[in-house]
Amino acid sequence: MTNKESLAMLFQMIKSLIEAGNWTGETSIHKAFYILQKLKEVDVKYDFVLYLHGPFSFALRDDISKYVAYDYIKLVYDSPKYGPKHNLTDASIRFLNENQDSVEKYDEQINAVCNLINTSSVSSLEKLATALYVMKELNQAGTDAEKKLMELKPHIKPDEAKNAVNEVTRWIQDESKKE
Amino acid sequence: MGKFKHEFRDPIHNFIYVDDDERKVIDSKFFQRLRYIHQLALAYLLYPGASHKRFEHSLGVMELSSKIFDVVFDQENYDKYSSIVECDLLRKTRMFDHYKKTLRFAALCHDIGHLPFSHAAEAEIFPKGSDHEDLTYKIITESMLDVWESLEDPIKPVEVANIAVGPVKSKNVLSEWEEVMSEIITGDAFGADRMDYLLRDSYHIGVAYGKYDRHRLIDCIRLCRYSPDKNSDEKYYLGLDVGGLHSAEALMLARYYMFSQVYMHRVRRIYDYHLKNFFSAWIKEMKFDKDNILSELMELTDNDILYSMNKSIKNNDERLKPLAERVINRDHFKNIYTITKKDIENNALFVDDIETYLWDQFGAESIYVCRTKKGPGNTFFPVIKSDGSIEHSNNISDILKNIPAIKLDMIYADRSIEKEVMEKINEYKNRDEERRHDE
Repeated sequence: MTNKESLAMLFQMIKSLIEAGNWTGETSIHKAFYILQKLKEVDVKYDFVLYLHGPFSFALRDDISKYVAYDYIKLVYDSPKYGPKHNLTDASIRFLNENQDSVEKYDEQINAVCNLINTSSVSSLEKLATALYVMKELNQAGTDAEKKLMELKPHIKPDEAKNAVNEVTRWIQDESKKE
Repeated sequence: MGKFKHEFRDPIHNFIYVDDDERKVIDSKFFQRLRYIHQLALAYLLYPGASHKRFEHSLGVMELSSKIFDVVFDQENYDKYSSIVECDLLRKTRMFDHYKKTLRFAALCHDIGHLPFSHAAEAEIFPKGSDHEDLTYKIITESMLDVWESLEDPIKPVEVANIAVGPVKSKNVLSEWEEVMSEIITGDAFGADRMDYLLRDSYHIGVAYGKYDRHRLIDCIRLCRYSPDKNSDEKYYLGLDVGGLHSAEALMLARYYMFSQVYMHRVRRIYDYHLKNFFSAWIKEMKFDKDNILSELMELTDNDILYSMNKSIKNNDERLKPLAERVINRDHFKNIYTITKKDIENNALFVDDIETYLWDQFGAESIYVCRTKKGPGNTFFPVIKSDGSIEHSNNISDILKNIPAIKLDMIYADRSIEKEVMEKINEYKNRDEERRHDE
């Protein structure tokens, strides 16, 4: 993946998350990229580790921070209690328009991930993304995956773990049917 | 009879007191090694006063962690906003004081895995995805077992390590209680690590930027449940009573100024680059045992690296001498150009593109494009208002919301081609501008 494609992907992800009705906080962006990488098997340039709210990429965090500093991404504070949402600026919209070929390359997969996520809460995304981590990276399935998920995230209740694993299992099965 | 309390004179905290068990950890070879690891790598070549070491910084972090613990877990402060099951149980037993001791040990040892010259060459040495914190964990849980076993009041090394390195780097899943304890040391907003190094670095360098009212700030730190994202599970954060907001603003500004003026100083960054290059080449020449390289490097201090640099110059080492001279003879690359916001506005990938262009023109060995990998960023914390409600810090403070992210990407080149490189940069920018104009 070229740098241009990678940057187009970042801006396109933010755009698609907003269009899908997502809050588009930083956590959502991380989870969306993780799902794109692990479920849709798109070769994103970021490495993920298991962090406070599930899979997280320090390199992605740095890229977001960089392009906020350069006014390609803006932070919107519209709720006193919470942190900011992310949105595009004229500069990033212009970049997407000028690099349509880079955008189109992964547009379908990005939209598919954003539709899977749509208005999911961060809490829900954390469980789903961590379940995906358990199933794809630790090769667990079924009740073993549920146990591992609760072990990694002790605040997740048994029924929540079960629902998350079932949901992700369905995602994986739907993906393999497409192949 | 020896002193129960041992004391260290410290320019930041006046006196730092330790007990007999803590003295045993401090006297261990693992901790004593920190006397010979500069806190700011080669910054003393730029700021002569920056000769302070990780040793006194670690003592300072212990001192601040202890103070934060006392304030956060003061019964009145704690009861208002917090209720961690494990904490509540521990409080009823002697184990609560024991945990404060574990926290102090974790703070003392939080940097014990640093290689010579701190962060400067980490990326070159450690396997991908690991860093000095992984080594810290290993040292605490494996190498220091004899030290822990010699203590009068037994401590679990794994607990010390978990708290010292935090939830991401620890090999274990941390309990809520351990996460809170770790945040006292390593937290992004009010971690004792950051609070100490800002004051200490500022003092030794001789700048006023790093100063803030730490006494007021610590006095207002509270533990509270919060989520910065809508519809997210809440977790415990170190937050702030609104009365301490101005001192928190001062801390965040201190951080911003120290980053932009000191940590990201153009000369400091190029010395880091040259140090890293020497270090990587030197390791290859030394032929360390690949499987044991980290253990072998752990025996080294800054003195060993400096000695090796001088030796390679004296011996005319073909490979190492030119790399060492960059540092010892101050023959570092010059900062030719600092990338501007306008450059990026015109071309989002300007940094990558100009690097490729200049490498094609002059070769990668003569050009260095330094990217800001990690600035202070947009650090937030929960603020507890007088009515008990909790708000995001950036919503309540215009100063915090508007502290800019720092982007100082710079282009460096060998002095012999300084003029030509600048000409090529201008050429490239003009071409880029014309291309944009045509579009």
